[in-house]
Amino acid sequence: MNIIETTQLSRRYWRTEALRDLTLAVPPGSVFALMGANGAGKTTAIKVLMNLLPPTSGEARVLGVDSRCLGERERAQIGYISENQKLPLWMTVRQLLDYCRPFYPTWDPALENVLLRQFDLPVARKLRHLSRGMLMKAALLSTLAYRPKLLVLDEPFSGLDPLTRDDFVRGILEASELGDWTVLLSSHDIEEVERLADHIALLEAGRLCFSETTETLLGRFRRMEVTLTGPVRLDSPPAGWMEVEQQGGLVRYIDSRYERAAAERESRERFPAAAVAVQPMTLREIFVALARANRTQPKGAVA
Amino acid sequence: MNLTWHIVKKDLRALKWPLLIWVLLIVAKLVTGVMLLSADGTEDPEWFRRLDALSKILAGLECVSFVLAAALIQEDLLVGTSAFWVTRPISGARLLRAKLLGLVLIFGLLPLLITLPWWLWCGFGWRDLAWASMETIILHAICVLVGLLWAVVTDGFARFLMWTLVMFVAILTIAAVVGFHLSKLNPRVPDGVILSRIWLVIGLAVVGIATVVIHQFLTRRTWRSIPLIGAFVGLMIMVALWWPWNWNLAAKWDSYLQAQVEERWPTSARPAGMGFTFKDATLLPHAPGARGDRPFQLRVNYRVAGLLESQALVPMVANYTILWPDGSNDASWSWVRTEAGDGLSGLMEKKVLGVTSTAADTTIDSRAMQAIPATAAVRLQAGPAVYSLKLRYALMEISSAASVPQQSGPRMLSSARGERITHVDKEGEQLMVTMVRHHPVPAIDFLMGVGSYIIGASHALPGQFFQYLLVNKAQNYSDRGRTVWEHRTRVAAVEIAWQTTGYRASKKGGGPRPVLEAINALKEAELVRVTFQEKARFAYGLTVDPFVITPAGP
Repeated sequence: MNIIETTQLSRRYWRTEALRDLTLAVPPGSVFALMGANGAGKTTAIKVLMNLLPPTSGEARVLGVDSRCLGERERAQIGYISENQKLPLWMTVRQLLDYCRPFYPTWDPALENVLLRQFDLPVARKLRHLSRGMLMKAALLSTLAYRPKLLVLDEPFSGLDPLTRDDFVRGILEASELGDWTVLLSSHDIEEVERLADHIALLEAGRLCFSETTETLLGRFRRMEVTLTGPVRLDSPPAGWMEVEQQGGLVRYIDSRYERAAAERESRERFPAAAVAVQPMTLREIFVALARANRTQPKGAVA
Repeated sequence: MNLTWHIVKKDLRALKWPLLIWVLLIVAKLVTGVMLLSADGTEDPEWFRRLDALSKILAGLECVSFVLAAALIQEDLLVGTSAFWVTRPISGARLLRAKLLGLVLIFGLLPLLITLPWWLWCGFGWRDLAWASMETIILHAICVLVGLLWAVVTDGFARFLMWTLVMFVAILTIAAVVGFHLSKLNPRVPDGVILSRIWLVIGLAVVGIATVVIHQFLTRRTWRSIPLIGAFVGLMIMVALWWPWNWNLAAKWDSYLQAQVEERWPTSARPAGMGFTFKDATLLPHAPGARGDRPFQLRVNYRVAGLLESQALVPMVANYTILWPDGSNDASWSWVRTEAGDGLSGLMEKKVLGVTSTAADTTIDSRAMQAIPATAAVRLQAGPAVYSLKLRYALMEISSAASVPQQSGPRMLSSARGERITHVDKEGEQLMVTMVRHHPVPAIDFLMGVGSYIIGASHALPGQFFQYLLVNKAQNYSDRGRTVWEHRTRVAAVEIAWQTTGYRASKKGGGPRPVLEAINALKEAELVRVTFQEKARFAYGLTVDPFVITPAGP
């Protein structure tokens, strides 16, 4: 059973459609990243999943329960951290932990101590006196200590300096080794997602562009460079090619449906006497390419 | 329950400083009460007025409890998606339970616990305590309800304050518009209907606020809560303008009060040989301070005979009925006053001076006064009716008369009534005695009239009370004194009265200039405290048929 499943999930804000027919599945044990530009609908999707907002239509099931019916039992198995969450700033770190502890039957004091040491948090200091990075760590600590089945992180890296961000990611990675968790992560921070996620979904203007494993995604995008020996016409490139450009005897493009054997075959057919160089792409390069393609093509048509 | 209590403790910790300030306000108010009751009497009236004003300001500041209530609710915001609690295993129902428990503890239990020592010090009995507690709780409940409404549908303190302000302005505006419409479009709405509308609107307000609060806690759907508020406001306006039915609330309340009064005044207990005789009745138009719907004052004079020499009658609450020839009637409360004093003076003189009794001593002329509607006044002038007066009395006897030192003394407590001589001074030919008195006064007395006083405060019928006389046996003269200055205030359901009474020790003097003989007489006079004890309590029904008004003179 998937930890999260949505079917045709939509959410409107008055006349604005923030989320449209979202259908996706988050498998158990995965680190699932929801990606997209600002306003793509990532936070709205997470808020609907957490029942912070009701869906306009469609259905979402979290831990097997309709998201609108999430009760205390389900919430005790879900950890949620958001950049916008209003923590009780008048509390000290210790008071925050003391307050949260009784709500979770699975709270692990030993893990709490391990994480306290790992995050190096000043327990006697009030939350309002913590830096943003420390604050996020305190929130993460109060969430990880009960070993949630599902950890939801909504833009957790936003506003963090690189060092703190690194600490934070390391914290998540190390903590994830301590339990069998599923992580749903929303971010537009591509590098961190690349480090963390094994599944990626891309949202664009409320619509899902794709949802697949990171490995598949990185595997199907290649930057191709073809050195020609004679004239070639490029008036009808295949559907999976993006950013096709020709400069003299050099043709460059991105193949978004790269599969080695098929790509070689197609190159031979189109460029019979050419040398073809294939380069893997980083996640950042893939998203930049997708964003550019999205500007020039009808919405939802990319990838 | 443990988790609910856990949330309450968190809220109490979060609000500890505002709560402490609020508690200090209550304590400060009570301290002013203690100061008023404990002062040595040398202070000038200005001191009293300042403390009075301070206690009123502190009591008013107590009403900031509506802000505290809002802060308590907004400790866990119900609006928006960023609250901490919504992502934790805390259901709306649990949070509601926790907040209600917190509100009850803070605004119900806490003020009662703080005020309890004050009430006990003032001699409150269980009944007084119950009324004072209920009054305190209701007062705070009103403040809390006002705070709750906007606290649950706003996402921050600034918005809460703004919308509360808007609400007050809206209430005043709507009340003015409704009042205008009622006076212009529908001027003949009976009082009973108006009263029904007022109570219905209050009831709707309470139900509306409770509905919105519960809905918001359980669903957090603010976009549905706001129309809900609008619907209730609309309903209240419609009720205020067009509710047609009279629930006879005033009559029901009166009959309840009468039933309570009947319990305490058994008709069968009237002393043997005592008689009541009707003398005459007059009608006074436009009595000062009369209610709009009862502008006439009917004065019924009667005589009480057969009182024993050692006894005095203290009139208590009475009620009248005028039965018209067509079978209808007009009934309400009466106020009784004895013409030649209350009978206590003569009794005291006999006791302290050994004055010989006369026949007149056992007869008392009394007057029952009742506010009646203009229609009843017209009917009385037009022809005879049947008048019934239910009189209630306490039969008092002197249990002791003892000389007291002419200086400040200890507090004399009789159930919840207390009094103390705070200062004695000679001023010209008068002995100036300053006393502080206190007794429980539930706010319902002010709201509902004399009947509530009887029901709410059993101390209103003292089994024992004190009177003071300045006695000059050499000149066979005694004086009950005249009030020179009096000021009253109210601190946490206790009325405190400071009174300076001037006593004279001689018949001579009393003019613009002091007379030497009167000044010297003060030296040989003694201040006597007379203690009255209730011997019996009874009711008597006086019926006059036919009842005819004596025409007023030119």
